[in-house]
This record gives sequence, C-alpha cells and structure tokens, in this order.
Amino acid sequence: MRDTVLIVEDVELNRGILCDMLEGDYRTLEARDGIEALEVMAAHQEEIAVVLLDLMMPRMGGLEVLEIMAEQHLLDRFPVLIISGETSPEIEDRCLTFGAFDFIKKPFLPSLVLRRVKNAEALFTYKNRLEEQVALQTAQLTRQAEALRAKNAQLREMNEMTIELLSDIIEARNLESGTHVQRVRAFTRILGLRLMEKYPEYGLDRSTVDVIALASMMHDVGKIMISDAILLKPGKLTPEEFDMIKQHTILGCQVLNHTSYMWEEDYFSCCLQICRYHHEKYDGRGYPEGLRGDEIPIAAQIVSIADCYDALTNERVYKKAFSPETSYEMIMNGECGAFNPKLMRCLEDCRAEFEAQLRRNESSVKPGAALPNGKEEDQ
Amino acid sequence: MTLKEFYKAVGGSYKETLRRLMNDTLIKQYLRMFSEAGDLEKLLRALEAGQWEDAFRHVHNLKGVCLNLGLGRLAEASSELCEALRSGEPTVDITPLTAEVKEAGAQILENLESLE
Repeated sequence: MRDTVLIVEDVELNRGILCDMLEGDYRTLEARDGIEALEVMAAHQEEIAVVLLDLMMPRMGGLEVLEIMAEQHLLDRFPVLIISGETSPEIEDRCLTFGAFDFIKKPFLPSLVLRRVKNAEALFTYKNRLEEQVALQTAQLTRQAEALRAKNAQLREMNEMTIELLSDIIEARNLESGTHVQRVRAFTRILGLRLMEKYPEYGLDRSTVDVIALASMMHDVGKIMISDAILLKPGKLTPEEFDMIKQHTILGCQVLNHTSYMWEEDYFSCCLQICRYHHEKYDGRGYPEGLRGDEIPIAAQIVSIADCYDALTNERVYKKAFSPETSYEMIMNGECGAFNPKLMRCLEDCRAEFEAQLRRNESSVKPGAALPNGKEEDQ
Repeated sequence: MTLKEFYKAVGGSYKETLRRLMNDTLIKQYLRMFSEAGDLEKLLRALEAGQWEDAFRHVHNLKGVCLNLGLGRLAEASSELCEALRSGEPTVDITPLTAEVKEAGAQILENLESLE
C-alpha cells in the first residue's frame, strides 16, 4: 500500500511543518540528508507514494539523490517533488531534467503542497498503470506473433514434407521421374512470375506463385491409384483404358483429401485445383469437366502448359523427345490443345528462360543415367 | 505580547503567515522550534571560523525557515548573505550583511521571550 510521503529535509522545523501539512492524508517518513533518504527508500520501497526532497543538505544534496535514484530506477517507482528556497529558473530546470516530478518553492502553502502531492501521486499512478498495460499488451502481442510465425513455419515445412513424400511415392512406383516433377515445378514458377508481372488482373504475388509451383508437384498424384497394368502397358491404350487414365485427375483429389488434415489451407486448395484441372483446355475440350477459359483455375492453367512443355521436350515410351524449338512451335500452333492466349504470350516471353532451364536439367543428369520414364499422355 | 504584535516588532507578516500555517498554536510551536534549533549561532560560528561552505548551508537553511515562518526581515537579510556566500569565500565585504542578520535574529529571539 503506497500511503507514505518521505520528507527529505535537514531542517527539523521545515520537516515539522511539512508533516503537519500532510497529516491526516498520508503517513510520513523523515530523512535528514540524501544518504539517509536513500536508506529509507530502500527499506520502504512499497510504502512510499511521493518523495519531498530538499536540495541543500549536508552529506548528500538533492541533485545527487535524484541522480542515484535515476541509476537505481527508483524514479519509476515514485515521483519526487523538490522543495527548495532556490528561486533561480536554472536550478528548477536542472531538477526537472534530472527527473524530478515537480518543483515547489519555499515558503510553501500547506494546502498547495498537499494538493500537489496528491496530483503527483495520481498522475504517477496513472502513468505507471498505463505503461504497465502497454508493456503487458506488447509482450502478449509479441508472444502471439511469435507463436503464429512458428506455427506457420511448421505448417509450411509440413506441406513441403507432404509434397515430397507424395512425389517420392509417385517416383517409387516408377510413374514419373523425380526430375519430371522438379522440371514442371521450375517451368510453373517461371511462367507464374511472368504472368504476375504481365497480367496483374490475375492478382498473383510472389508467395502465391511459390505456392502454385510447389503444389504443381502434385499434379499427377492420382496416378498412384491406377493399376500398373494400364499405366505401364506398352503400346496403344483402348478407349476404356484411356478413360481410366483420365480418372487420375479426380483420384488425385481423393488422395489429397485423405491427407487434408496435414495441409495449410492455401496449399491444399491449390493442390486440389491443379490435380483436378491440369488437363482442362481453354476451349473446353479437356477433361474431367470440360471447363473453358478462366473457369479453369489459373494455377491449373499454368501447370498445364508447364507439364505439356516438359512432356514434349522429353522422351516417353511412346515418343522421342522433341527439340525445344519444335516443342515450342507445337504449343503455339495449338497442336497440344488450346491454352489461354495470355499464357501463350507469357511463354513467348519466357522462351529463352525455359530453354535455359532445359539445359540446366540436361547438365545435372549425366549421360548414361537412364531416366525412369513413365507413360505420359500428352494430348 | 500577541503573535500579531510579535510579527510587527520583528518586521514580519502575521497575516500572511497565518494564512499559510493555519493557526496560532502551530505558528507558536514552529517559532519555539526555531529558537531551539540555534541555526543563527551555528551560522555566526561558521562565519567567524571562515568555514564558508558551512556558513552558506546554514544561512540557506535560515532563509528557508524564515520564509516559511514569515519572518520577513531576517529572511531578507539571510537571503542577501546567502547570495554573497554562494560561491564560497565572499568577494565583497559581508560585515554589514552579517550585522543585519545578527540584529534581525537577536530581535526575533528577544521578542520571542515576551510572547504569550
């Protein structure tokens, strides 16, 4: 309970007058000089509400007391009111600079001293409570932000692990080469960034493009649900078998839905879109739903071109690899189905970058290391 | 001698002092403390010994007390002496200032004795 005023003053008479003034409203403690004052403060830290401090005292004066109080952070605990016969504004200024709360000149008026002590106490308590609250809230917010950041990082890591796990399964079943998945991711990213710059109407930003690129690795995850007999069948497929293959778009979403608890929302919905719609065509002649134009989610449209370009430029059991030039022309001519004209313009811009990416992949795969090629239906 | 008469005799202001210190009993109590504290003698001793720092502190205190007790003449005299001693050894002749402090002080102590 802070209900005590510490009076620091070497003249007994002045202490007496001050005690009488405060009597009835406060308990009082007295000190005859600065050294005694600091001792009393240390012993009664929790009781002192206000300190009245004289400047001119033997052993240790008021200014020195203020200085030590500042060092020991005592000025944050209770306000100090200087009481002095000094009338020069310089000294008053010095005291306030040193951290005194107020300056009362002698001779003091009892009613005024009492009122100023009360004011100092009220203002100080209010200010301290505010600061305490702000500090508390800031600490709380910082903690929450940190927890969120940690959670976010954790989720992101989890997503990447899930994606890697699933692409490992695809690779292990020899359905796609691991490098195909990585190349599609790289093409998706290049094309996505170009689209972001050239056509802001799609509302893409860098992190969205990254999400799309990562999610692109899931585009054929549905193939793990299709039997080897069909997937690895040499030679032509019957129409029925081909219908089964088409199911990989829908089956992929089922696989993802089984793992939905592991996903962050934006990754998850992006993966679903890509899985389901990466074989849709801009003119409505794709599958599974025959969506047209921008009914097809933009993420799926980007991955669709990236996937197509990669299938063309690489060897498949049923076809040789086309040259980068031929592959590019085939897409632009519409031989691989209709794509969004805006994305075709982006591909035009990114042609050199795509080819550089191809060369980078060639040099990272040394000659003789056979790529495990799966079957890719690239109509 | 009443308090009013006392203040008149020593060049102070009773009205102003009463306004601040509220009642006669308190004023009389403080005045008694003043005479018992012996600040005036301490000041004069320090001056005689040339202990300027001590002298400054005592005259400074004396000034403060006199201001609080409304002892105008002594407050004024000690204030002047105080300024002369502020930076240590005085550079002016303080004999007349000291004499005035002494006289005003003696006047107070003298009149205090006949206060009811």
